[in-house]
Amino acid sequence: MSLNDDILAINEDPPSVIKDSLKFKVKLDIGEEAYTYLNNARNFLDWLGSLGAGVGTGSFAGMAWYTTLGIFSKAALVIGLTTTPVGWFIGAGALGAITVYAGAKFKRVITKKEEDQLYTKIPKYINTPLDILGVSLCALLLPVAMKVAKSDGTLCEKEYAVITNYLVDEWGYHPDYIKNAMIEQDESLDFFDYYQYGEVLIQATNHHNEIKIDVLERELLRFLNDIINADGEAKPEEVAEINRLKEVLRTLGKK
Amino acid sequence: MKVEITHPQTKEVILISAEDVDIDDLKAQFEPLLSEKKLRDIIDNLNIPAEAKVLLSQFFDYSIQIGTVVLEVGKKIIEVIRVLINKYPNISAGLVVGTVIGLLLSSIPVLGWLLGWLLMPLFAALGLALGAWKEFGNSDLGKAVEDLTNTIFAGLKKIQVQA
Repeated sequence: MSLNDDILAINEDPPSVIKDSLKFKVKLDIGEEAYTYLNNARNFLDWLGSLGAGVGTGSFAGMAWYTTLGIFSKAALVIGLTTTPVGWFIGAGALGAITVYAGAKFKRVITKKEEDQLYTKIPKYINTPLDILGVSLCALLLPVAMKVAKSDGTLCEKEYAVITNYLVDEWGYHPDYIKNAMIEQDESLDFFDYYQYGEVLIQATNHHNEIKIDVLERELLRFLNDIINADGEAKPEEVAEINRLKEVLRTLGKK
Repeated sequence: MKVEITHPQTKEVILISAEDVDIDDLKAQFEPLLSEKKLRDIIDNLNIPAEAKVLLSQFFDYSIQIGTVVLEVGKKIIEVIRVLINKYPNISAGLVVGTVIGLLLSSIPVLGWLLGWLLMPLFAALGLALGAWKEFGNSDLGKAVEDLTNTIFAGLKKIQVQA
């Protein structure tokens, strides 16, 4: 099999869980916190600049970032910075990075507070592979949504539409993934347990820095309210399910 | 044939000598086979730090123009990385990225000239030593990258950079 065949075979892979990555990253609402190594994008730009200016890890930005690394990474970085690069890297490399540094200096004119008021910050990339994060988040959003929607015995067309529209249009999930996930979830809904759900919620937020419990709580409650009002009338069983979820979230908040 | 090319980052202009280069052959080899959306999805789904993904995404913008022909070298590098991650599932994605970028940029002068400035920040973001690729030169992964350097990227080796 040639390289081109191998590359073309990638097109046959199943479609990504997340179809619109930008929508998904907006919904995560994590801003600069996506850049965990360097704490935020501003430090990242400073750090790139410090490397280019030949300051290395001696600068404030360099040191701040250095302290976030593990022992192996620190050792690797020190070796790396003292390794003599191949000759023709040096000229272009230094000039290129100095250009980056100039850009970073310019950006510092606007304060962080002003930026927060002016923009919604969307990280270009996040640490966790996007599809893995998408599957984890769907496992937090969909079961409870189905539980609430079916608490009156049926999942009506309008409730189905609210769930799919929310996950596909607002979060950017692939419609086929959501369709299949809803079928699977429907089959295992009898085993849903709020206590276990709370445990999964804790595990997921501990494991993925990108999932913020306050963001998830805000999103879930709005989503569930939309579901119970989809057919024009919030039934007592549906309200009771939401109250049970709120109780779980309150318990989590005390931990 | 001597052609002027401009460094996209520094705007430095250099002359490249492309005497023995078969332009049509190079054009065919560097034709991207995956859509830009697919390539961005690939980066989104790599298990490497966000900072490294940002730097890797810079490769999208890098191409070499020889006469009227544009060689999408950056996109081809991303395609190659994805293929090798599939082939070596037991090697971390960060190490595959580092080995591919390190070996390609250190053995192909025109790529080193164009993309060398990304090397140090990328390796630091991946938590790798700058010379780490040399350690993997004799591994299966290193040999696979060398094969690619001698086949698909071989045409670029003929391009001489004259500062």
